[in-house]
Amino acid sequence: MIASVFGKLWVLGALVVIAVSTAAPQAVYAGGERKLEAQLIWGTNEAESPDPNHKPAEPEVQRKLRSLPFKWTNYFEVNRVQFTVAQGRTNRVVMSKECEIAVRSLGDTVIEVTLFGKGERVGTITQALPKGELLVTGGNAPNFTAWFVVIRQID
Amino acid sequence: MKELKTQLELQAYVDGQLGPLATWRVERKVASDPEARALIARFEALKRMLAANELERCVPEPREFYWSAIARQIELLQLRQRASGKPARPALWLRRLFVPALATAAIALLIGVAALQFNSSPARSVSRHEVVVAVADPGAVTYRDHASGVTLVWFSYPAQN
Repeated sequence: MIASVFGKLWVLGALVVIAVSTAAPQAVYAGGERKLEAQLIWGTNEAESPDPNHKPAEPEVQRKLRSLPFKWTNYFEVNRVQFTVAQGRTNRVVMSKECEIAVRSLGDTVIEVTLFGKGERVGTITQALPKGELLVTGGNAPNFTAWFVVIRQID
Repeated sequence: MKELKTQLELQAYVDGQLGPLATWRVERKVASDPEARALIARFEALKRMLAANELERCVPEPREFYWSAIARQIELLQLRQRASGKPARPALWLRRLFVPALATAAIALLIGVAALQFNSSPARSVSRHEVVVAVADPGAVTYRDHASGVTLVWFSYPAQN
């Protein structure tokens, strides 16, 4: 009697496991709204930025940028924007007068970032961006300096 | 000498165990078969002899008591057989219960993982460390530092302050 009841229960349990293991990821993605942060960073060898509004990039970002094969010794934060993006939606974020990004969440941890310079599309990057990792886009700037847009997940 | 089947049929006829049709058939056969008639006569004589000489056995107890004692013996024997039967070992019982459940759960897990891996969503076609770059700038360079978890896409786009 007991074995019969348990026999039915494990069949039911197995069906539940199948349903959960296949449906759970869908549920996470479906309701997922990612909270991201984008920082516009200026890289230079100057000790101080001529713009008083600039402040040194946070230590964690500086450390990671310094781990990259660049020659710059100092990084200043020009702007920082926090934003959310729902799965399948695109959020356009203005980083500066000339720089904008459009971020689209493709589900899971994958985002698609389109970079605009002076309103023109520079490129599109599709990248898995789990928490704790950085997606850095950059390019040369005048006077042997560089610009960076650093994107990361913040929750 | 009649064959065994015929002998048994005739014996059943003598004992009155045949149905009407079989009885009619036997009687027809007997009417035209002297050997069958002789065999029937022997069976009838044997039947009469057994009935007249059956050995009477007397038991000291009353009839009900005698049969109830036999019934108790049978019940006791059945109880002993049940008691001597080995109970199912808990480990075996658990195995019978959980092994199929675990096997099914493992299959379900594999199906779930496979469903994730082969899902056609474009997001899941990008692996954790894969960078897909579609750029207007052909001079773009991608660099991945696994240790620090940094992905760099370097454009030759000339920013101007």
